[in-house]
Amino acid sequence: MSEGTSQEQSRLWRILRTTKQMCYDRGYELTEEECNISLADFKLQYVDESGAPQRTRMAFTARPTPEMLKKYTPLPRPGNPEPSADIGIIHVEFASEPSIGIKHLKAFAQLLHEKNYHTGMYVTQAAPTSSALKIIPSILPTVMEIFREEDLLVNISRHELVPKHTLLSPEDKKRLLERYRLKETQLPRIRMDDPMARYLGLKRGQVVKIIRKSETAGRYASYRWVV
Amino acid sequence: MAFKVPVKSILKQPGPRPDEAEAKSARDQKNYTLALQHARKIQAQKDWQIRIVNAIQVLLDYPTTSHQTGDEVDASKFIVLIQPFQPSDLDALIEERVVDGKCGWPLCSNEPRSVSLGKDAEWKVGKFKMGFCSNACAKKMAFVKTQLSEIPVWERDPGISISITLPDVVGVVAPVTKDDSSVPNGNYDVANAIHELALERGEKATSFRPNQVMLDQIVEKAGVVHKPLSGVHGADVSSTAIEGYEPRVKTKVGFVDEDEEGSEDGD
Repeated sequence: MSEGTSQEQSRLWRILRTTKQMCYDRGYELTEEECNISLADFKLQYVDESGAPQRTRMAFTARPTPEMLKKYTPLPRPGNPEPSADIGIIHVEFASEPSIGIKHLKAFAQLLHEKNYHTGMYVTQAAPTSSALKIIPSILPTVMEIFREEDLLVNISRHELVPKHTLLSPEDKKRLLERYRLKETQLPRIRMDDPMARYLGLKRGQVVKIIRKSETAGRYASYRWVV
Repeated sequence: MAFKVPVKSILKQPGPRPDEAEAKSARDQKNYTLALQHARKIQAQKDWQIRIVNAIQVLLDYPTTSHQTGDEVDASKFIVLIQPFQPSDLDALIEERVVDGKCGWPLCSNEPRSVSLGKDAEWKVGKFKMGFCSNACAKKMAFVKTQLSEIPVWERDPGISISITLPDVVGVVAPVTKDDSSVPNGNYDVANAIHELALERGEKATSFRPNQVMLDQIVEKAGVVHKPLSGVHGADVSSTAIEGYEPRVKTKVGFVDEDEEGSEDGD
């Protein structure tokens, strides 16, 4: 086997592992073994006879866990006493084409629509064209997230300088705001395109709790409002 | 001492006075209409953007027929579809078509040079031209691109529509090779050459107005009479003059005069 193919294999192995860990951290149903698949197992499952890894075989779907469903359920309102969770099945696909245009994203959107997936994640080798990205808001409420392969080579949440981010449920958020007598606009903010916000798939209006190590206090928690 | 003073509160009376309430509702109404107006503007902008993306999608599948240069119907539809485009939208269209493996010119079904030449395309033919199958197609697209308005469609005056002409209709991209113009033939004539050069400079035959050309005889507007530099005695310049000025000679008489004045002062 040549140097290039083995490099490509380990590259895709890392990407798949990070993607699965990301879904696990968001709260989807995945097993530990799946998230920490070994390179040998990866080769067995996803590499064909010629040694080239098959991106189409790497696609997977995952259901949200009950805890995740609870976290994403909005607070009951007078008009809507029994709100349903704003989350569902995620479908992850890895693009085998080197460049992505409108047609590819349209086809992926069509697939999400047909299979009734709530969220779609598309991992591409190069950035899609600018006009292709314009169709992402047009398919709401279906969520489509685009990740570049090179952004998933390393799991950024495991880096020692990245503090722990946890999403607050609407109930927790309400309690926090009451406890500190705040309006949500008075919280510090985090951008939606922040790498950790993208990792957790945060949406506008949610609040994340960020727990840092502190020399003086041991642990220090801060809260950020997603904008 | 037993009479009571009626108690009057010094606090503000609860509830706004009627005129205040009225002013507030008027202000709210004004703010509401303002917000609504802005929201409509943004919505219109979004609608246009979606329309442009849809137009790009339609143009991705062009040409609809298998002819190398699309037929008349495609051409006229193409003109209609790119009406709302800005030049940058046309760039997006080229990018999309290249991703799809088609020449950037929507009426051509060949594959672009970025595909046919492979990775060398960028330094061989340049970034813009590598999205086309040939230089002719790149020229055609550039010709159309210059006709598009830089102003986004939602800010344009709806009364004014831009007219776009295709290069095939005008015949701008006629295949002119360099050899034709550089090699002089038998009846090569200087007047023709000068005329061509003038055209090259951007001078047209109509722009040449003989009335305004400078004549060879010069007519001064006011007659200037030449005067010799006047010396003290009205003669030619003397050798003692400094830049035409003759310093006055201090005579003995002058000195005497001054002395006399001084003596007067002293008195």
